[in-house]
Amino acid sequence: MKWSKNKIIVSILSAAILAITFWWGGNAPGLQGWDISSKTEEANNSIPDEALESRSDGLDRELTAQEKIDIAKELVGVTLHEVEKGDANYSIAQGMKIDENTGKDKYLTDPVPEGKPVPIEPQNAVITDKELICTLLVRCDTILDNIEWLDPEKVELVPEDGVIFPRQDVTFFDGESVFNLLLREMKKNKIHMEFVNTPIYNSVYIEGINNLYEFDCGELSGWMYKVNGWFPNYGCSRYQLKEGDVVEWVYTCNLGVDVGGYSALGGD
Amino acid sequence: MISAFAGYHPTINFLYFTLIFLCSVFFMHPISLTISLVCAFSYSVILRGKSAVRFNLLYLLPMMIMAALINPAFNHEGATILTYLGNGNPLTLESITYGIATAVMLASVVCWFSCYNVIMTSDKFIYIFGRVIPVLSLVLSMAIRFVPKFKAQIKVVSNAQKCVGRDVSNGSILQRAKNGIKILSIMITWALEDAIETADSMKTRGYGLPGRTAFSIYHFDKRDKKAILIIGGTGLYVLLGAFFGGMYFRYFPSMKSVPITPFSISVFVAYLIFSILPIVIEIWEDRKWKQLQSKI
Repeated sequence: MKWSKNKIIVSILSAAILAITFWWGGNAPGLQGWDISSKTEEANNSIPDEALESRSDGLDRELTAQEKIDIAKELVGVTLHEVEKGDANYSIAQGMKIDENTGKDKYLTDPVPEGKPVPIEPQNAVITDKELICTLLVRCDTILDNIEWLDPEKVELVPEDGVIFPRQDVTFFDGESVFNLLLREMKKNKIHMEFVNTPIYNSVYIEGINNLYEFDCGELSGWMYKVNGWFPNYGCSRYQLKEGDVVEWVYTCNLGVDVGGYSALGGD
Repeated sequence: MISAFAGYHPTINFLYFTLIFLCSVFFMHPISLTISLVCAFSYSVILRGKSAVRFNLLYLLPMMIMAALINPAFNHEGATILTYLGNGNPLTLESITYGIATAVMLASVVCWFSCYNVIMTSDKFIYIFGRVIPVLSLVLSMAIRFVPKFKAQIKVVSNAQKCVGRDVSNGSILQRAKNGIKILSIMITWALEDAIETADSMKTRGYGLPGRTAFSIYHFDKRDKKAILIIGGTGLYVLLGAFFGGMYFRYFPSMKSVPITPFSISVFVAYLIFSILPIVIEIWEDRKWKQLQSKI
């Protein structure tokens, strides 16, 4: 093939267009900048504070999902000395149907740790008129520590103390799930909340509360819930509430590591 | 009708349409969307007359309504909650307005495209790109020309079939379906053959060979210079103004517009001038033609 002047111009032009789109598409190493730092160097940081700090200058943009999970796992190893393991025998005794081949139930849930409630499918739950009391709290204070990652349009939405729904006692009906409670309380208090149904896990997924959505504060961010200090390893529609439960919805900016809930993502 | 803007140099037509497509896709401020839609709609009516009105009302309006309805059904973001949908997700004012905005954007782009098809004929496209990217420009112009050409040919074939009693309007339902498939098969054969014939005939004429000249009647005259100054000037000002936030508007989480300052007003005015330019050219030339006529 002969290289005429026109062909060279066209190839340079198309290369330039590709480079610009690559740059603005946010796929460049270090978002919109050529700040390349070595992967292995970052991954070897076993001290969580340093590793977390280094993320803000672009680490999270140049790692694959697996590498991120590995790093998060490493961090958990340091921050949480004891990750509660699921107990298959206990879970089966409690009525969870676990597939022997996969070690998970029909909706891809691992066995729950001993002493924790097993998931109850929302279609099987019997909701009665009996009124019970539990505690609900919705907060996003982790964003305050990572405000530079937050979508600039959403900064005004974050309350000064990071509390969206202050800790208070709320009534629920016997048999209701964490999701039923959240939906009703958010409606009652005119707080925005969006969810989406995920049939594969037979649960809803909370996309955003108070217009703070998943991925708004870095690509490892989103909403998680814990009940009595434990992050369940299944969706909020399948967690049946009991009298006196303390339900907390927290916003994580780092795959649950910063709120102490990495184990809920099913590391192993 | 013969368009006055089409009489300008092809580079000007092409430059104008590239810029207007970019602007109407990326500027989501309600004022710029309105400017774009109104100008695109009126220009398409000026160029294509009644058929444009019919197309816009029959196809574009339902498409707009659909786009405006679909967005709030799936997007629940926004600070102003109007009511709750059946499944418990909120219906927000922001998602409704964003749906309307995208619908207007879609419609104006389609309208601009219908104008583009009238103004930028394939010979103009090949005139601009035939030298730089000969193969690609031929393929592109053939692709763009395909649907109208196919439509014209299908009428010819269908009429010929009607003469021998084998059209989709003859016989029982089964017979009609059979005839229709027959016509389709004829059309596909024809389309493949036609594409090869076009490519072959272009090749035999030495299309794309170095040193080959092509006849063209386009001259870059004084009028074109003036037009490129106005289009380039206003276009550049609008793009720069938008880059520096002169048309800033956000829909989520709550709607917020750029404050109305002399700067933002000037950007909108430039955009209005830019969008309305072909209409002004058409009307202006039309009036000039009539004036000249009356003097004779």
